[in-house]
Amino acid sequence: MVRPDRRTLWLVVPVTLALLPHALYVPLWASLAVALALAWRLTPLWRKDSLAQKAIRILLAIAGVIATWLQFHTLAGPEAGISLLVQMVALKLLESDRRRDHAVAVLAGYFLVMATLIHHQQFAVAAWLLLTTAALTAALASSQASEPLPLGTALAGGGSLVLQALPLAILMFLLFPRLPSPMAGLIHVETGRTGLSDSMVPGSVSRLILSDEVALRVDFADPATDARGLYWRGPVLADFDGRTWRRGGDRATLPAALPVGRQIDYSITLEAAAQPWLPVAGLTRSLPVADARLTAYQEWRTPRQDHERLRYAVQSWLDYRLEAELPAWQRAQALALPAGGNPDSRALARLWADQSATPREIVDRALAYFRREPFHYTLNPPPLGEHGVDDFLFLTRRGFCEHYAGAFTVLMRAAGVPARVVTGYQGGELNPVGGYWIVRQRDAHAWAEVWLAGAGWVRVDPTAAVAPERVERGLAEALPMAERPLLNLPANWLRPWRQGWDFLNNGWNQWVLGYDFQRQQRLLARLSPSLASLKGMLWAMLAGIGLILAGLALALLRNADDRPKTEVERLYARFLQGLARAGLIKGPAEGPLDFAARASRGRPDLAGQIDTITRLYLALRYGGGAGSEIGKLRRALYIFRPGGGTASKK
Amino acid sequence: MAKRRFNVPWRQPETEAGPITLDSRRLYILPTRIGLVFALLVFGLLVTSANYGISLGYLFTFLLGGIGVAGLFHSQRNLLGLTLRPLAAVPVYAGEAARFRLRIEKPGARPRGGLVLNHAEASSPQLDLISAGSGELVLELAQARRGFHKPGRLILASTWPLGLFRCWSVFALDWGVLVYPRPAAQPLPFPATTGEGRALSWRRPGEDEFSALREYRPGDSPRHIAWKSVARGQAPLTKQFTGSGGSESWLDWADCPETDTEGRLSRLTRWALDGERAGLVWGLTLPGFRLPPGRGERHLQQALAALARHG
Repeated sequence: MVRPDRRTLWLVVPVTLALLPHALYVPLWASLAVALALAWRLTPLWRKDSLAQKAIRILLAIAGVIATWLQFHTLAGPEAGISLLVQMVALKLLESDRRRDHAVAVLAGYFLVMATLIHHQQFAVAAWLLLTTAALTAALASSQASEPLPLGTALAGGGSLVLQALPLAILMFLLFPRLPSPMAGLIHVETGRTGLSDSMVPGSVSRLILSDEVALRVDFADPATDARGLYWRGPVLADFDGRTWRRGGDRATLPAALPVGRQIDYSITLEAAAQPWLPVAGLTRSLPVADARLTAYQEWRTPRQDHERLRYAVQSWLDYRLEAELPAWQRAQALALPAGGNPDSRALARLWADQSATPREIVDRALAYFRREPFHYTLNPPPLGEHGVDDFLFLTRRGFCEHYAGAFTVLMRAAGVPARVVTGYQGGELNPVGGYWIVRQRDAHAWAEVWLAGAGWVRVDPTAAVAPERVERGLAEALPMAERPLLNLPANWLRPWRQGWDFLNNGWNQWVLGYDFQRQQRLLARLSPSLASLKGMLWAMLAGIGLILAGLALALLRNADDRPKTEVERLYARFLQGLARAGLIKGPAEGPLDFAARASRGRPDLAGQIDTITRLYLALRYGGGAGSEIGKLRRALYIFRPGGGTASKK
Repeated sequence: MAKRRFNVPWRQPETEAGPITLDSRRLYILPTRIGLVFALLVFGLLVTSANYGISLGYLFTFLLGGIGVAGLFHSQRNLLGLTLRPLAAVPVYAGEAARFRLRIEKPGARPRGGLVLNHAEASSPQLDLISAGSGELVLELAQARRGFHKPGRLILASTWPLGLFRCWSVFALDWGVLVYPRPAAQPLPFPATTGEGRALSWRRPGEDEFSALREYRPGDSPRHIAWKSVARGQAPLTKQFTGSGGSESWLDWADCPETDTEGRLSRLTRWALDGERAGLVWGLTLPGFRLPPGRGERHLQQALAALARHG
């Protein structure tokens, strides 16, 4: 078995590192082809000069282009482009043997790293990025040597280059002017994001419940705030067709809202999602997200249908009065029910309405009903028939938050109380490491809002009537033991690790991935107001670059090799320097004693000192002089001032 | 004091005796073609990052930029402090290649690599000083004409460590090679011996009659050393013999059948080599030069040098 030579490995391994993450994205056949090509390159079957193999390479290249075209119907888009690039890099490796080919393969490897960042920018990716960059750089260095370098030397070389590049990279990262928004349309990369949706059927929220993904993180100005009591308002669903709840139509009018009581401050980091909703707890007047809009239902949303990770500071009032006067269209919408559906529920609601003096009493009767009757909170409700609400209220009585919120709203509408379903998140988990709250997809929730004269829209959470633990302690506590999602079973010993990891990720998201135009402006303005302007940034950048270059030059170009190693040599070098300034230069082949004799003749006034220093030096350097001697040498040099004496010039 | 001229790479450098120690004033640096492609790549990555708003992409782009800049310094650091020591070049015959050996010494333990000696006509193989403290760059230059030839402008260059930058130093060393005339291809009989027309003697040629003592020179046969004077503690002397009675030949410019200068020199060279090979005693007569008869390696070299430098 012939092992591939080190030069080949030095090229193939780093480039493979750069290729690896793309296996997740390029078509399977491309990954397989690349893997086979790399394997071929490493076997002794590979010959660089074989004409037949050259023909095979050309055929492979043509086949790759055709296959890519068949797969994507284009060669230009990012997916097709990267897929093509991956194949071409592998083919390049098949032909590489000259220095220039190596360099081209490494440069392509750098580009592959960048292409990965389009999909992944997590904290863990950064470690891979640094490793791959160091390996590729070492591969570039290795291609320069006539004999392959030893592994340690090459890696140390690549690693030290990366380390020396870091100060400049960090400076430029902080100061290079960012664009207020991306230049062109974003590549839309589907990652199967979950999140709040603007329709609800029984089961749609419970699907989210199984997801451990982070939805948002909240940092309260007042660290004592408990996020578990807060409702993060998402889309409001006001249209009901008998089975599905949907958002009502949008209107230009904005709801009238009056804040009541005390204000709280917090900031939210919202993970990227394929939905436009910006969850907020309570009432807020403005949201610092570019083009964020408020809707007629007091929802906040982005103009587009999706968003990247966002961070926004919120000042909100947890208590407020929303729409004390209900517009006619709202009333009509909030009372509408499909004709003929759920007759038993309607009858029950009408009964309550007849028995009650005020709408508030109807609400209380309904909640009491949920509490009194044997309702169960479960992730696996039995299927419901044509009259879903009737079946749920009188037959199955097992359901999840969306069942309760939906049924409650139907009851209210049937009783003549305007009502609608609100979805969002409720609950969360404190990360004690970072002091912030994590709200995950599994904290998705649905509740109801009823409109009461004088009070406006009032939040009612019928789930709390059935399973108060859901609201107070979170989902896992509320579910029967057997139904608790596996992921959520907090192996308690694992929890601190998970929290620490989340803390790292959160910091990474905030400071590296979230470092955009706004954040840059804010950071620089905090450092110095003059920095936040384009001119200030450029000047600071130039100054910083100058400093770093000077530092690099000092560290790398001052000839470190020529510097004496030990203190004794350093002291003697200082002695020589002093004499050199006085015109007495030690010849390269002149011994210390000969030089001392000559120097003493040149400067009789210094003869005693020269003699002492030379003797001490020789004793320390060659005679194994005692440690105390070095102190004497140091003192002798301290008083040695050849420049100041009576110079006897020739 | 001579006015210091600004050091630019295209200026014909002043000839130096050597050894040369490279300091930063003698080093030039420019990106290679791959270096330019690298710069283009970094720019492309920057545009990609800005286009898609990839924050980590910015960091990666600037990291690569930083690697390029650090590579620039490393490129200069690779040549800085090296000592170049020209070694004597062995004389060659015209038509052969002379080997110019440049000894490179590094001051410390740090690896230096990718060293190449460039000349307008040829380049040396690459030298990497990874663990070794010194090594030799061998530049082979074809020598078409006889004479003393200096390589002139030389460049020590390296693209180490990343191949993105080429750092180089231009210098001219007081360094040359003696190129003997090309020996004539056609053999001709060695010129006849002179004197009384005596044929080859039984004695060894050149050892006829003692004539004088002269100072010992390296290369003299030990049999000719006046050991008596050495025993007396004096400096060694060499006994000289007149060869008048021996079978000595004169290689004479005028005896050559060729008529042109180079042809005659080639002929004389060939005779000198033939004579040395046959162990004959011969002298050389050129216009304005006369080498008394003798034999041995040293004698041959004196003759060849005179032939090389003729005219």
